[in-house]
Amino acid sequence: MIVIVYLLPVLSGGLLAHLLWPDRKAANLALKAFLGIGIGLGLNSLSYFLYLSFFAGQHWFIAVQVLTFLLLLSLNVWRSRLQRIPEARPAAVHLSRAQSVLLAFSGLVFLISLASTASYILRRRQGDWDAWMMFNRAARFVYRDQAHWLASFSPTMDPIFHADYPLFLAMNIASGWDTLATETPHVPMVQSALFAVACAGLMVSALASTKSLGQAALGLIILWGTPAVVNEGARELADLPLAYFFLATCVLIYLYILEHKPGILVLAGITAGLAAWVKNEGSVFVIAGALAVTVAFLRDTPWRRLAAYAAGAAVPLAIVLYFKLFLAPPSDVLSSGPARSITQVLDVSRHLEILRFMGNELLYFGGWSILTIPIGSILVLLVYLLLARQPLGAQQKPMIIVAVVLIGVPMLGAYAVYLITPYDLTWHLTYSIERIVLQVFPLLAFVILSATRLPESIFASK
Amino acid sequence: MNIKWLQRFALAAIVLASLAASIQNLLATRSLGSVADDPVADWEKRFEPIRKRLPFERGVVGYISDSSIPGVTYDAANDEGEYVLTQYALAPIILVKGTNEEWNIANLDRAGFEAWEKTNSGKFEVIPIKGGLYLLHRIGT
Repeated sequence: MIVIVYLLPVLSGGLLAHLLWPDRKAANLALKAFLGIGIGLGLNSLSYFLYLSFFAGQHWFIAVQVLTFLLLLSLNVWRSRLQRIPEARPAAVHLSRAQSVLLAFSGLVFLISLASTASYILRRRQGDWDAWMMFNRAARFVYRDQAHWLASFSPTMDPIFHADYPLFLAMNIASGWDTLATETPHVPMVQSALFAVACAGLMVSALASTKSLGQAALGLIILWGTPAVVNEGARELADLPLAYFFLATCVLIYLYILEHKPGILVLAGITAGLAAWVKNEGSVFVIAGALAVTVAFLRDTPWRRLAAYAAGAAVPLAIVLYFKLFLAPPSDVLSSGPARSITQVLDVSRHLEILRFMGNELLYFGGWSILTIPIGSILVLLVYLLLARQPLGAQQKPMIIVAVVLIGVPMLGAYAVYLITPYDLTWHLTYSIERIVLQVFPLLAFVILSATRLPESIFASK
Repeated sequence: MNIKWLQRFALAAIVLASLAASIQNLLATRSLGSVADDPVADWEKRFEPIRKRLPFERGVVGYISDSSIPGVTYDAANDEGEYVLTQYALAPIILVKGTNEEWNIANLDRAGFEAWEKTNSGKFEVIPIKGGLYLLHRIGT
């Protein structure tokens, strides 16, 4: 039964991706399948939110899911009849020795980390701290008294429960329980695992599409060999889903630079907009995405590109704004007040403290070690970039600009939040800095692997 | 050593570091406890009698714990964790700290309850529940 809960949304997401980007290259089909997971779950979450707004207390959301799927399927069939899309002939794959070895290692790392994810999820059946405090708690509030679900956003609620947080995860969980008519922990478990697999799949298929099989295998080895990423995928929290949408947006903007198909940029707008429905940090990311598109195409009619991006982001962003303006209680992060915030911003010691924590993450993020000495995955990747960088082509330069904006703006946003946080700064940094870095880590790894030589050429005899 | 060998060495190091980290991570999940245990579900069972005795299914209920009683020692992290889990267990009831509501929950050890009772005697009807839990019904509201 749990399959039904997620199958229809995931298929619908894949169909929407295919509708906007009708391409039949094998690597791109795989990419769209992994995009379908996040986009589909996002659409499902937004649909359930709208459904509750009009039909709270009724239990026929499954009909909405079926209708959405049938509509997208019909549109795809209609479009394929109207417009012949050339069939991409699958090219015969001849693996080089380097590719075979890397694929074998990536398979091994994938299986071990999949076992870790399963082991973690089974030992934390209801997720970790933030899952009880925010996402699964919010889902319970909605599911257990659906008719009065709006009371979930009561200002009476203690601010530590963050009733103002966007509802991506909570709505999917509540809709799953609604469909199954039972409050099983399997629904949030599967959602968490789906995002873990989707994030890895997106990285692999994007690198396979834009670089090579060897680079794709290396991408999987780095992403799923990083314990911080693997564990986060099992904790039922929002940071890995957010990282997934950050990565998806970057990949799609890069694909637009390569292929110039407006539908891809609409998809990038959708994934950025959905990031804002996952966590507050996602709202900053939507702005980062718009900035990235503008800067990357500054000399080449950026407004047309921005319009495509905005068209994709419009619906999720409108729902986020409606939720934030009319339903959500005030955010605790902004509760310091202007006078205290200004004092905190002018306090040099706070800047130094934040920079110290960020520097530590640069050195130690990820959970890797060599002979028991901890060493950060980001540091290793940067050293690898220095050693194996390749000259940037005309299409890679704008991609680097895009990546710098997509990583830089959210990090600046996080920096600003730390400056004005009403909580003890050291506690706040200790509690959250690793997850802030995790949000941009897959994107950073993708960009570094896009800018470095292929393993196939590194291990070539000549 | 030319640059190509350095690149090969770096790539091999990444693969091996990743593989080693994956194995260590898998082994480390054992420290999270047994797959048969579900402390969150156990916590919910503890609060089931309270849920049944409350006269409503959605509303506001007060909550105090050892940290609310001056002079009583407590573990701050556990105290906060129990508050969060209690809210999770009782949803869609909203918990607020303090005893200003008509219905309130006291999650106190013996010393904490005795100290609280000294200053609040007669203000509440106290309904003891198992395991240091008390349901407090404000008198005269």
